[in-house]
Amino acid sequence: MKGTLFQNFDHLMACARAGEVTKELDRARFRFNTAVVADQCVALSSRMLKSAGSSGIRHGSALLKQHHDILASQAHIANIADPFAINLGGMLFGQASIDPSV
Amino acid sequence: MTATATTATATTTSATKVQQDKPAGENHFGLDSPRAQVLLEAARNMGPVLEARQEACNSDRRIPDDTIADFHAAGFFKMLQSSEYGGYEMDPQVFYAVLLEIAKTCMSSAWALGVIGVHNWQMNLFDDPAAQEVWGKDSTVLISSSYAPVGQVTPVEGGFMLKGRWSFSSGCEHCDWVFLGAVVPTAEEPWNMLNYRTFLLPKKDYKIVDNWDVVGLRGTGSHDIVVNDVFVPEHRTHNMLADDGGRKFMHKPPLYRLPFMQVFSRAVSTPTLGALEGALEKYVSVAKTRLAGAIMMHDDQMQNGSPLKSMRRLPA
Repeated sequence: MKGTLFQNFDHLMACARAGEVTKELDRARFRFNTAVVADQCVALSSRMLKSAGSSGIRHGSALLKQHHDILASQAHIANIADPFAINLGGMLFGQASIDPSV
Repeated sequence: MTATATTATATTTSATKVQQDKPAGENHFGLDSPRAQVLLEAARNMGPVLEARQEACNSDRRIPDDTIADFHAAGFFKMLQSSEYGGYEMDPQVFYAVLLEIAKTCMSSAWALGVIGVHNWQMNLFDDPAAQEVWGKDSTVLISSSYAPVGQVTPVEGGFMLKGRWSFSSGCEHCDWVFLGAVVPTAEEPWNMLNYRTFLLPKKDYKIVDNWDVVGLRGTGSHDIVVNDVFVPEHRTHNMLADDGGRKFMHKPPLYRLPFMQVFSRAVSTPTLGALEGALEKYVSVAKTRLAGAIMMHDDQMQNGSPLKSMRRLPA
């Protein structure tokens, strides 16, 4: 995830420096890559919590605190990946973007 | 825009000094730049302090004032701000790398820094007089936001009347201005997202409703914002969807030609990733001594080639 996000921005900055607009399909892919982070982090954090056993569910658990924070972040509209997945999928099949913010 | 910014003494840090002699041909604003290294080192050094403030941050539902002061002193709010107002104009990768580091210890602090810090980038996409109003006397003034298009707008001579209630305005208690979202109705189209704008309002024009009672990100203090029929002049609005990759900003540094949502969305996903890294470090320390049945959870051979090791090779 981390490598992908940084590579995406390397590309965006390279386009900006060259005075070019990044291709719409790339922008749609970058939006999806960004939005899906919260879903993936919630899933990975859940696995760690389970593996930590009862220490992960006690009040004061640092792992649980971080899990709650990660969980909360997925409530932000920019971190809800489904619309970006649908848009990217459609574009990969040749449809026009349906996301004006991409 | 006139460069009349007053640089706060708190932001005159070593990060300000390292950029002065710039050898030609290098990226002085990227992750490998001297200034970026200073910023990242400052973020790493804040870990223990943020850890000590975690309980208060959580119980007070607010980023501690000392943390905001530390962010100012380290120059974190200047990372994406225009040099006309004393900002560093760093590549966003530097901003995100700092967020990753802060979020390892305190995701609420990283979230607030991400959201508020990225507003200092968006401010450069407004018409120039807007930035002058916000930063003309004090370039350290902060802006919160709530972008949901829930405001009611009436176009009037020279601007718009705006009213409504917005949720999730992170760090709003530390800010003197706010960005609020709404769609401007036209005779042909009462509601079309292509007519979405961000409206910039000073604190005297809105009220904060203390209602941030949540299970996670408690410290962000993301309360509601209420506006009752106030006038917003045209220059204090930004039509972000019409910018189309920032063509109208071609005279500005490359940083301000990036598409809005690409920059903003990373500000609210990066802290999540940083918090996961922090959780992973805590989990590894738990696993070192934990038994899963009769088997030790840690596996040194596995860990030597693990994602944790490869993650450490990346920025931050």
